Amino acid sequence: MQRLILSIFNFNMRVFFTKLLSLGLVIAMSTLLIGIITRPEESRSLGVTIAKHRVLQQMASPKVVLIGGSNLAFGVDSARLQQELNTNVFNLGLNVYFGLKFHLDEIRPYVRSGDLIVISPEYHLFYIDALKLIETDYIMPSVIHATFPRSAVYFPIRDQLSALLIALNRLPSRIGDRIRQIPSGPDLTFAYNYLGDFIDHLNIPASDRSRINNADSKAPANINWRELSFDQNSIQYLNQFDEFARARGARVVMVYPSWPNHLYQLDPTFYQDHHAQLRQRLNIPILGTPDCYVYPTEHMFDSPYHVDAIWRQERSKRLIEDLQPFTH
Amino acid sequence: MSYTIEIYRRHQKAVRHLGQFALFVMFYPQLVAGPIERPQNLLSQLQTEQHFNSQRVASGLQLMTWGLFKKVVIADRLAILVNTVYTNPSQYTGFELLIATFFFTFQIYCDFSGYSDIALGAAQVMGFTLMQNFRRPYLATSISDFWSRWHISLSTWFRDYLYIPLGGNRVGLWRWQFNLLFVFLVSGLWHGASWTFVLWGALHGLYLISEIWLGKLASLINQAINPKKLHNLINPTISRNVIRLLKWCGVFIFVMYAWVFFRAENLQDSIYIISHISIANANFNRISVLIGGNIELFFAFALIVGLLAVEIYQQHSLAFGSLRQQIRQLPLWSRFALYYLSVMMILILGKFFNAEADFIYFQF
Repeated sequence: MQRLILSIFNFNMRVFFTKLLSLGLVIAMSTLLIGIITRPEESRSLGVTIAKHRVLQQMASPKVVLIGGSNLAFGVDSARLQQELNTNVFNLGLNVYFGLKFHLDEIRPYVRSGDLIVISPEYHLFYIDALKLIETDYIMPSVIHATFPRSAVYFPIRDQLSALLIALNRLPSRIGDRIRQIPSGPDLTFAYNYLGDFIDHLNIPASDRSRINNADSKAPANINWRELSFDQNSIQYLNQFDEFARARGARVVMVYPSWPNHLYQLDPTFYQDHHAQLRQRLNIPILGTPDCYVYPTEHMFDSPYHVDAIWRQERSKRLIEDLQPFTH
Repeated sequence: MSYTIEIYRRHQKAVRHLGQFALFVMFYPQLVAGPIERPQNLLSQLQTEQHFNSQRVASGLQLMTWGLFKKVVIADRLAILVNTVYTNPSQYTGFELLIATFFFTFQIYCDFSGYSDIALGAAQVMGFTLMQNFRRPYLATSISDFWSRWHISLSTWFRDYLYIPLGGNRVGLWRWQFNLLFVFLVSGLWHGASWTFVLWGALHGLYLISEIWLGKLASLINQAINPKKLHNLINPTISRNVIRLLKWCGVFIFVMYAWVFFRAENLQDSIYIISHISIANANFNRISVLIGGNIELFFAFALIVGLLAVEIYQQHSLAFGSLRQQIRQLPLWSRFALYYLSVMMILILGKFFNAEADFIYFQF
């Protein structure tokens, strides 16, 4: 092999490629180093999951654990659920970008006999490349990777490389912020209550348009689900998780996320078809139908999955009704 | 097309080797957006055996790096403001329209010349020399000078296959003017079947015609006033430089004005921009927000100034060899540091996640 390489590459080529390779190596190493030492500021807000895991680890069973994205973080009053269901409740919901597999894997160490795991996966998690329709998707691998380095396995290598590039790209603005003594990103740990609900949005008046964005902003109104392919892996992950939970003596149910009325009305039959498909293929009981969790658009903000204080209560009430048969 | 025309004119022998012909037609560095290569230049190189030459490969890689820098660091950064403003111009003030147009002037140059540099560099790495497509166009001091520096492969293509067959400038004055206008109208249409491109081409045709008349006027004035008398009043070096600077400013403004038609989504938008663009009420606050903050705005202007500085240096240092030749003469460690810094700057300052980051000329 060595002789073959020597015969192909003459001395000049070998010297040149050695220099080129050395340069490439130094560049790769510094890129990696900068990527590792610079953490995207959003990682601080997502870092709350570490605190959530700590609480969950100490919570006694039987308990109800809600898992999913921000539709749960923003849309559930866990204290009310705890009181009316008369059992421990914890809200692990945080961000859709973690992905379904991550959501299902992160709860595994805490599943014990008698627990009820309530999964509320966002619609985007059932369709291939649907998350890419949301503007900020390219940031998330870097944020999540910075928050949980172990999450690397949940993202393809392309996203990991993007994460490195993003870390590099943010270097000038972060240096600028440091010079101007601007703190790097808010620590949102205090925006959550002790049961894992996001509560910082509850006092935002609906009239405050500067903070309450149009629900379209992160999911275009013209989203055409029918153009997207259903992710067969999602069914497999959910059924496998159900088997795992049963083996541990726990039960799993699924509920639909909050969804704005104007997006639902674009194609109501899609949601019915989606529900029929899940019902047919999932071993997990589905509580309610998509239309049970459709809310007025004006009460949603930032993302089509986020409800305001009023509809958070409505959703909690509905959840209590749906979950009661499983907790008594 | 140039291959067919050159064979027809018997300037080039037809290639009988299918592989060589296919390689000529599909030569990937210049396949998508030029430079529009002539068969005489490329075919002869394809027929010659190539050997590895480390200096040539290094030089090609330097050119590719510089092209990539212009594209992802400068053009894609400026594109953020340009795309926002030009998508909905009526939402923005006259000053914001002006800054967006100023940015587009440099965006299109860095985008297209960046692509050309990458193409030239990639070809050079493989041992081929493609024709130069840009030669510091924004340092031009006349519109004809601008066109001898901008998209050279296309302008010479139009010159050789359209302008000269029409008679070029070896015809009567009116016919010459018609030839110029016609060639630039066709050049506008070549960019796309839209009135905005036609107007852009027509404007440049009219600029060139105006230059003919201005030249005639200048020679009349020269005859009327004794230049020696003027030289007694003003230092000739100073007056020459002042005139040069005024010419440069004038050309830049006229070229920038024409870019409005090239970039606008439609005729209505271009008319709106032209009628509202203004230097009054200069306020950078909203521009800063639109481009992503004060630091981004600072980078945008600093990069434009830096680019012009490099080009002015290149223009004046030609006697000492090209910038790349000068880099080659540096000690190994200095070169290594320079290459390292260049790549890191691309990685750190590059805009890799813009939704509309395709090369502009890919659409033509």
